[in-house]
Amino acid sequence: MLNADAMPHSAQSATELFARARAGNTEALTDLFPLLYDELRRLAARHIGREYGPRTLQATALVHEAYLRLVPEDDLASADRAHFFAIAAKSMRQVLIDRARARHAQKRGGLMAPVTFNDELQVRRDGARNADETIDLIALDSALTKLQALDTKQARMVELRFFAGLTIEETAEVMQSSPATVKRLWTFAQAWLRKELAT
Amino acid sequence: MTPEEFQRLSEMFEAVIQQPPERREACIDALSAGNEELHEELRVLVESHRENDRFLESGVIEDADGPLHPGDSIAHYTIKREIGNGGMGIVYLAHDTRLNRKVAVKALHAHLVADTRQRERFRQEARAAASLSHPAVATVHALEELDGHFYIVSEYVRGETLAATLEREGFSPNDALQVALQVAEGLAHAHDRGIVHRDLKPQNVIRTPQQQPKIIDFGLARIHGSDSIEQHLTQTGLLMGSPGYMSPEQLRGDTVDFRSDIFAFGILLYELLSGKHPLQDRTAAATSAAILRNEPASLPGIDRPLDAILRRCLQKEPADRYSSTRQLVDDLRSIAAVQKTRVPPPAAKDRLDRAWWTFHQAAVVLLYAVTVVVVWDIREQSSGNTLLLFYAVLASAIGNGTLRIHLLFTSRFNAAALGSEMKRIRRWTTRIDWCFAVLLLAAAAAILPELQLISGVLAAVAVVYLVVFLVIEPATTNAVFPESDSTRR
Repeated sequence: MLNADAMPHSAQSATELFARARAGNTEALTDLFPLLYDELRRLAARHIGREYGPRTLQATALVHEAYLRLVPEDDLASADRAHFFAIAAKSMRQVLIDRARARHAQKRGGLMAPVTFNDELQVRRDGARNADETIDLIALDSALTKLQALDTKQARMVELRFFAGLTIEETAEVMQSSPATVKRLWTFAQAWLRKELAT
Repeated sequence: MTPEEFQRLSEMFEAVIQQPPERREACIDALSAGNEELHEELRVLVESHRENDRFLESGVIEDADGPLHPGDSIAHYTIKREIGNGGMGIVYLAHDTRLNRKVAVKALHAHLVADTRQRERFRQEARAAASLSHPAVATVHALEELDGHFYIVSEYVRGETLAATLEREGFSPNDALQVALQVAEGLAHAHDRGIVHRDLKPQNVIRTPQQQPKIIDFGLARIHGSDSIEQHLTQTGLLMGSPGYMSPEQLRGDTVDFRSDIFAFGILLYELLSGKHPLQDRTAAATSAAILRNEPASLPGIDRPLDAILRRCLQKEPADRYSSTRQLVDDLRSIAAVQKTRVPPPAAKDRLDRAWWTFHQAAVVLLYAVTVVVVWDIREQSSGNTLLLFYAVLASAIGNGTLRIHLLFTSRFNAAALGSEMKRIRRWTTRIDWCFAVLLLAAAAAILPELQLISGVLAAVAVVYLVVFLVIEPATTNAVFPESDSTRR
């Protein structure tokens, strides 16, 4: 799994960063964001750039791939794992937004498609596409930024659910909350984001 | 809205959605208590709520698909599904509703035809490509322009690209030559009309299930605006793939003519024959440097005439390559003709193996003959069922002897067909071998009371025969026809 271009990362793999963080080095965790950001961006470019490969990029799969690459032994304590996914979700969000912006900036995008989420793909596979199901990631990003100002906890939860693809239970574990609470918050966030994106 | 108000809003929302739908309106009225703004906010929120909402739940997916979806129409072509994605655009399978046939629609990336000059040039190229009509070239049917987008409608070619076959299993030498010859014929057809492909590579040749290779995307590379590598890289990014098929003059940005195609063809031929690119290096830049500077390594075990064709195609200077694609086709054709009639030159070891096999077959035939004579001689001594047994032994010995003689003759007079004949006949010989051995044993048992000596001889022959066809024959056959047949990775 480890190939030549992954080697530079191994020098400061996630496991090591967490070990340093536990040893009292508070900067270690802040190093994780750029590390993950780079890793995810590279993985994304690789997945999309493959000429004959699948042409969709699944954030959840990327986050898990990054986890396997950066924490090859799967030896993180569960608190560290939670941390990892929290930061990975944030990094993934940044990667996707940057890609969306870059596409947007491409001169009148032409054949470049808007960024969509996979409910739409599901519908499309059935042959009856519904344009309403297409979502603009950039709009979602600004809605999330707005949500962050109103309720940090909810914004974090959306990141974990949407950008890292965590389940209600996993999200609850990362947020040190109960699944029931997360479910409640999630229901509200869904309605609120639907409303924000509709307007 | 403050975080506190937001908090209150979320609590009210939860209270409302716990009510059955018909009571929600009233609940909102009660909770907002005359506050118009809050009332409206809450109402819209509740309206946005869905039972068991899956919104945002399956994780984000970035979808690089083009804007065309199954069911969309371009002119009278209905899109069925996406079938490919290259540097220049996305290819869809579509249905031509007027002529009721399948077509391929390539939607060109918008940046490739951004300005009027590029557009005009592209129209010209498409027109030229559409004038080609050859079995080895995918036919261009039409060029459609819609909302500033360009769509090339062409023959839908089913099959596998040569790149995919190379990746999977490669080509046998004969196969490689046949494919190369047909591709060269397609190229010559275009070159005769002054049309240059400019981007010939294994990804751009599809082989149909009927074994007909077809070159796709003729002349389209022209729309890159320039033939230089910078243009290739900046305009198409990484999707363009490795520039491992660009001629030295293309890499240098010099003018390009049909001789660039001949260079690319040389690389393609080398790959078909050997399964590997002659000058591939770790990075695109290193490969380009190798194309400009390095001589490709000679292919081991390749015939001199074929090696000469390769060398001539892969000359760095266009002037040193073939000055006509027809000449290339003629050279390939004469090699193919020779290869067709000729037995592959057996190496010394092969010849020994062949001799061993021939000796073995001849010995077995002799064994049959002797058995036939002996059995015929002693048939007088037996009667009834035993006699039938003897006739059965005779029949199987004569039958199998004939088949083996047929193989011996085939190996002498039509060696090329020996492999397939072996495959065809072996099923039968094996079955008859078993019958023969078993019948012979039965015959030996039947005459045991009267003729102990001959019975012993027959039983011995049967046992020897079992050893011969169960142990020795597979060894000699494998020596001449190794299990892994001639296809090479």
